[in-house]
Amino acid sequence: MEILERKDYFLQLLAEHILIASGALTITAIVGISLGIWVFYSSKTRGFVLSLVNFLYTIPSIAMFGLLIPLVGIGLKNALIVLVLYGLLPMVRNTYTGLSEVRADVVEAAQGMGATRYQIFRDVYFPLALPSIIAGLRVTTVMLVALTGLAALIGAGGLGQAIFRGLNTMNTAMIVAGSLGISILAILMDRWVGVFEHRLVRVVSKNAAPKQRIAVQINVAALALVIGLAVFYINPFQSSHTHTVTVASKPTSEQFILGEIMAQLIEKETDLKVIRKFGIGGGTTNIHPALLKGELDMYVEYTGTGWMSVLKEKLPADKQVDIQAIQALYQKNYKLHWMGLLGFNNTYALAIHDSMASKFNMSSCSDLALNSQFFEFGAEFDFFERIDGYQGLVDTYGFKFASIHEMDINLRYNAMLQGKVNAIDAFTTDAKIVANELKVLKDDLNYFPSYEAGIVIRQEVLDEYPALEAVLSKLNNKIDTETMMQMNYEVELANKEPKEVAKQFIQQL
Amino acid sequence: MSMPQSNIIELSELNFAYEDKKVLSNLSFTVAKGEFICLTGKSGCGKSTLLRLMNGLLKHQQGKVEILDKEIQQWEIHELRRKMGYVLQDGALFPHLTVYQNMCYCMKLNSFDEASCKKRIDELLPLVNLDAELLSKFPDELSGGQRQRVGIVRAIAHNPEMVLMDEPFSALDAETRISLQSLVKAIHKKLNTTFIMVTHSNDEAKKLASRIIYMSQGQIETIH
Repeated sequence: MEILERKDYFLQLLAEHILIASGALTITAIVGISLGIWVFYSSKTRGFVLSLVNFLYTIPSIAMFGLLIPLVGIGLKNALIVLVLYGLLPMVRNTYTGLSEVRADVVEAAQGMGATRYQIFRDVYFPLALPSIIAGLRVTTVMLVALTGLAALIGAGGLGQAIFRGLNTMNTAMIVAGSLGISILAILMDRWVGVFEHRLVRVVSKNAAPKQRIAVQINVAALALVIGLAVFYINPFQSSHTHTVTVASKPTSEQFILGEIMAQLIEKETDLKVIRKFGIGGGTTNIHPALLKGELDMYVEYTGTGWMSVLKEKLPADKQVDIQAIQALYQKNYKLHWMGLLGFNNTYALAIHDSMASKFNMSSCSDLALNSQFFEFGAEFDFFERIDGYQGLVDTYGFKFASIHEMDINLRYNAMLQGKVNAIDAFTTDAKIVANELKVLKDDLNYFPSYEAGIVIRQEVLDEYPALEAVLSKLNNKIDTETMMQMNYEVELANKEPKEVAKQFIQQL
Repeated sequence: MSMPQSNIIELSELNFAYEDKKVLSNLSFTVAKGEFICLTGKSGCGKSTLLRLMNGLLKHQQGKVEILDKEIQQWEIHELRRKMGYVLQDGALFPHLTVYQNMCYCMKLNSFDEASCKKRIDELLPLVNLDAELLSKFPDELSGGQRQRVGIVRAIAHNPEMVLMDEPFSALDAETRISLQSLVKAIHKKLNTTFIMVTHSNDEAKKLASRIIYMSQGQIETIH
């Protein structure tokens, strides 16, 4: 079982998941219950606060992660904020409802007997609202455990990382294992909160039967133990003491492999510890700002992306990005260093099925333009947005596709196989081009820029650990397009681990 | 030497309205220590409102409310209420507390220690005909009559200066009501505190009261 072989990886993710989810849950519970109590007593703010938490809940969670990136960057802080904002609704609502459903005569009795406002809250409102508050906590718990799965998108870790890694590398076993892990964790945590449902009010009211008290105590102890184990396993305090560097990657197989190669090379040749933040959703859009903030230290970027998307520079006529020019601008604008080029060009290309190519006798994009009314074109969302993407392509070649379909980047080849589309954009290092018998059409009008891969690293990190320069430079010109495509093949179609493929590569280096 | 005539409640020219609906107008009367007053009258006559003006749950708009020789505004309201017992319909017991915890609630507010609570509850149980076995039960495990007996113990356990009761027996069946009426009468006699009870039943008022105040449209019609 390959999953069993990756026990350490999954234990790490599980520990992260437990810590993120329980951390978010603790904050959500404290903030949510406080807000619920506040709106119960303050009828003036009630409408506003309840609509606000309602509104937050309606923002799609993925969007919320993205919206916060410019404010707080990627990683744990972002994840916690999103999870808390999202989890507030059931907590605030249930707390408020629980309090407002406390019987009026019971409250009046306490008032009439001389209980103060605080005593009435402590002795009457709070214990009687507790079952409703705990019911809200159960809903929140299940929701947050599940939602923590998305935190991996912004590099916060957790079991979602396995799911995204599986999605990005076409590894179904990883997707299943990650999802199952989250489901089981959600069920267990729901059970855990459920133990408090009828017992906590008795413990709080000091009239619990010994059995009830013991159940609550065991429950609290069990959580403390699990969290303790997770903390011990991850040892988050260690990284601040020892020398570490953080390697990032975008969410593609190629990037996972390149990330692993960098990480393993550093681990092999230096004493530095490496933190892996792989598969960060949004790619450059989120990784570049995180580099500027110092949250990440290095990743592999492509010259075309760096030149146009990051620097916002115009391409020269030959569509080639000059490495010295990009190095100079990155250094000047961002204090980031381009290490040199790895040796392969992963640019865009259009691909159609081999059989179609021969049937229409097509070998270039201009050929496709002549027959484009017969083609349904599919590409990832990003492609329709970027300046070197769809619009310029159509303007250059004059395509008139029968229809266009936007989809997730990892689904293009499947869409092609299933006949949903019959022309897609591809990356020149995609393993699935050969495996799926596709024909890459020549970009005869030279529309797509060059996307040569190179390592981008923070200058500050290089200054601190000068040895990295020599270590990482070993990769310069060592990975040609064919090698990259082969490694992609091994991960995506031969189901090997990026870790394993990277290790093999380094041995041959 | 106690002065039987000393008034513990003095109301004069009291006015009260909910928004613009007048409930009490120019109402005056006094209650002497040890009396058993029944406030009676048709529903909407203002009798329950009057009761709640005496413990500050409602605030009068005009006139004077003087309790235990001090105007009610001058009292730290919790302090005043802790000198009173309060009984509502069907007991209004705390559903999450045991019978014993309910009974002790006022004593705890008045800072009695656990030992005195226990001693006092043991004393009162035979007086209200409740079994010690019930002490660890919760209100929803009791009958309506038992609940109200617990409510009465809760209201008298801390030796209050007066006990206010709002329709305490109206939710009970006839038989239970009669037995509880006798019980309250006996307790009044034994403890010699002041009782002020709101009831819509003339018969109940006649049976219990040392003085009956009939109310109609926010005013006192007759005092017997």
